[in-house]
Amino acid sequence: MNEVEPDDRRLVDAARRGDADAFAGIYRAHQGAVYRYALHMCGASAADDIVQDTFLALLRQPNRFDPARGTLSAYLLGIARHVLLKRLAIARNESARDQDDVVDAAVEPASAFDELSRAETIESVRSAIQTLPPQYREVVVLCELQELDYAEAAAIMECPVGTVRSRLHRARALLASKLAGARSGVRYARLRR
Amino acid sequence: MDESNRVDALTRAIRAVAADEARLTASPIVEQRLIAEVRSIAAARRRRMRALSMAIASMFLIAAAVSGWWARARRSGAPTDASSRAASAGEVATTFLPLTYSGVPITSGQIVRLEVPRAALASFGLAPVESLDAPSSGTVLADVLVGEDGLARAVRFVRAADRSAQQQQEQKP
Repeated sequence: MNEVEPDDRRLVDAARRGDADAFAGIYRAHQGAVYRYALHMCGASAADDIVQDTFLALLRQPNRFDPARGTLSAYLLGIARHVLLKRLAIARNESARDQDDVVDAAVEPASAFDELSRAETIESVRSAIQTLPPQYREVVVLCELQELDYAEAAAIMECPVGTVRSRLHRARALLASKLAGARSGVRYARLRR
Repeated sequence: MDESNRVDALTRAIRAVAADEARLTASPIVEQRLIAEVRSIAAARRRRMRALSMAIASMFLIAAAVSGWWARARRSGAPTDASSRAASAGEVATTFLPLTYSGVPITSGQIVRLEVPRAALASFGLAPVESLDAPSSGTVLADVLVGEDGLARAVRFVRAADRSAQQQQEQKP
């Protein structure tokens, strides 16, 4: 994810002046990451809107991007986060529900992965990620799926690096637990066939 | 399976999801909308630059006209009656609009009537109304407030209240 982006400032300036080619370059390089982040955080129905609003914000407030403070990719993900937080009025409710979702990973120590096909694994993991509470889902999306480093993720999430580490640890434990539960379900379903 | 293997397996599974999702992108319509927005920004920028250029050009034209009048007035000792007057009852005038040196204080000044290019109206956002009045004319009348130092402080645009009055105005020597 940490690709070299030496021309980002120049491209942003050019896009701000109305250079469609410069904007298209920025958009094509970064829209995928923003889209996938939005997809995981708020679903397919709103992901396109999040992408659009994020890049509109870049066009309308281009001077806020400072390459010295982080990559353009991280900056755009930060905007996307603000955009989707506005949409996620349910975030507060989910944080209350968070405690109910936390399951001790030690409860189900077995692995789910060896017995599942690749497609089943992908679908199971994707589903498990979707059921994570937002703050854990977010850290998995940023650090695991987008492969940002902890510092970049912390900047986007506006929290200390230590919080990113602890959330990721908790998120992985939750994922393992959920996937172990999924494995039990699959095995049960196979037995019933 | 020990803890290390479980961690590795989870990591592999997440990597598989990431690889599978790498192909996911926003709808093409989003890019089309955004490119349209960029083009509208470019168009608005061009309009602003054009207006700014016209405004600067108008300032220079007015300043040049005032300088010419100022030089003539100094040579003759005093401004002529025809060139120093306020809008009369038969005329409609805009409010005075500040020019470049509007911030420079003056102790006395004169209102000088000049003909300036019609483009000057556009730079003050007045062209649509005025152009209905005399679209064929290349110039419009303007009253320029000139300080005792010869620098123009403000301008207002003048036209006859009706066309016949304007024609009379234009026929004055």
